[in-house]
Amino acid sequence: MRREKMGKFLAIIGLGGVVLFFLTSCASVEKGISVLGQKTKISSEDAKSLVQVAQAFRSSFADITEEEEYYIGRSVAATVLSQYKVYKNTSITKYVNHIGQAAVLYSDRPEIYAGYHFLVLDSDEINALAAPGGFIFITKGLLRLCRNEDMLAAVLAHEVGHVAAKHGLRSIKKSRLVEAFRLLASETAQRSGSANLSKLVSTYEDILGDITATLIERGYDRKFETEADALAVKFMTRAGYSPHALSDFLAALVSSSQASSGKGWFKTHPSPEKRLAKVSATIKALPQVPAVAEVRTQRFRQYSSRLK
Amino acid sequence: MKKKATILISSISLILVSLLLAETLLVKVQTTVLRKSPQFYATVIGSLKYGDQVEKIAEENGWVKVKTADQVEGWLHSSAVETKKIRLLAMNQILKTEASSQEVALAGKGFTKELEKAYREKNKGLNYAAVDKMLRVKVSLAELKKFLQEGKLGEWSEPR
Repeated sequence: MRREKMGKFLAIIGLGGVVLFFLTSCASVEKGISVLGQKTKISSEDAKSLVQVAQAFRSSFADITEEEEYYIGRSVAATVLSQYKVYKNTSITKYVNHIGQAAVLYSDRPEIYAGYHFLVLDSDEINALAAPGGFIFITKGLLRLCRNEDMLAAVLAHEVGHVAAKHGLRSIKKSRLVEAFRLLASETAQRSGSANLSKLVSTYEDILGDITATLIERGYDRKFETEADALAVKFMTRAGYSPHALSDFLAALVSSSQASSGKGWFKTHPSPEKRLAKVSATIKALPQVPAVAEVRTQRFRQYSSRLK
Repeated sequence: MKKKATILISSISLILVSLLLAETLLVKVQTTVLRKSPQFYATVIGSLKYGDQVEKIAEENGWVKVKTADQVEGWLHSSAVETKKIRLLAMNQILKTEASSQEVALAGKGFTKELEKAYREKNKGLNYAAVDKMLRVKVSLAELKKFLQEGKLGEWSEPR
């Protein structure tokens, strides 16, 4: 009896291994599994084991699915929106979304689970935040700092870069993810009232805490900021926005009266002077870049003059 | 025991055979559209949703040409589908119907709606209503096209 159990266990592990091998090398496993599900009779116990094997093999941020990224982002966004008020102005919100979507369209990751969404926060602090799953926030204070549409596009493209490169998910401590995946693999973790479920919920809280603390308190790792700047230059150039507007924005930050406050953007981002030098070097390496078009600056003025 | 091994071996063979037939891609975004040509502004010829399976026919500059279950051929942006690595947990959807055991369904869950619900019960002050409102702000492709055109952006940008 014991030997039989052992054999069955090994067989399941073996099958799981085969499945996982193909998971990493090819995209047809789904079809294979569906064949497995329809044509053969596998017991619920075997199916359960298979799913658990799959869960247990997840170990890093790269194993977080797009749907999961969306749900993580929702909760991070809910935290941001509990701390900041929304700036209620339909036409400005729409305008910001138009610019944001233009950057998205020319990004490396235009399609994500529920799409990208942009919102203006009713705060005079200069700040911009990007939660996983495409929830992007900019403050009214930041809008005021921009002198044209291209500068605003630079900030939004930088934030789209953070989402596209999954910087939020990368800021989760690996040990927490491993723990969460382990708990998800446990069959009791989702039963209401079970000890594993409450452990799973508190691990999830820690995961969300890692991201919100990064977004609001600590700021992203310096190398992620540099990467997001480089992505912004790339997306802007493709979209037809002048990447020099990113340099203009960084220069405006340097001379901002808020620079010495150490709040918002200044708390969570590396010094704009250092970023400015790197961005200029990135742009210099490009053969040709678009220029700021007057027609865009004019429409920007129409909206910004309505800012209260 | 022998019977079990036979079933498992035949299952593995079935997987391998199906792998050789064609490359299947899986839609990984909530909704997306099938386009006539590999451009965002191309004519829309169909829509697809999360978990839909399509056969890959060709690939070009970040776009994939696919054939849907209804035999419609069109283009999808590669970021809308799984190309290299398949979603581990999606297999659960299929296993769920086969095994009809709720435990199986739950064991395969990840950070999804159910976990959000449990988290929200513990953290009541969070503003999910504003998040849902944020999600309702949508820009249609037609609107975006007009915005780009008027702003001399994208394909309408001025020659450099």
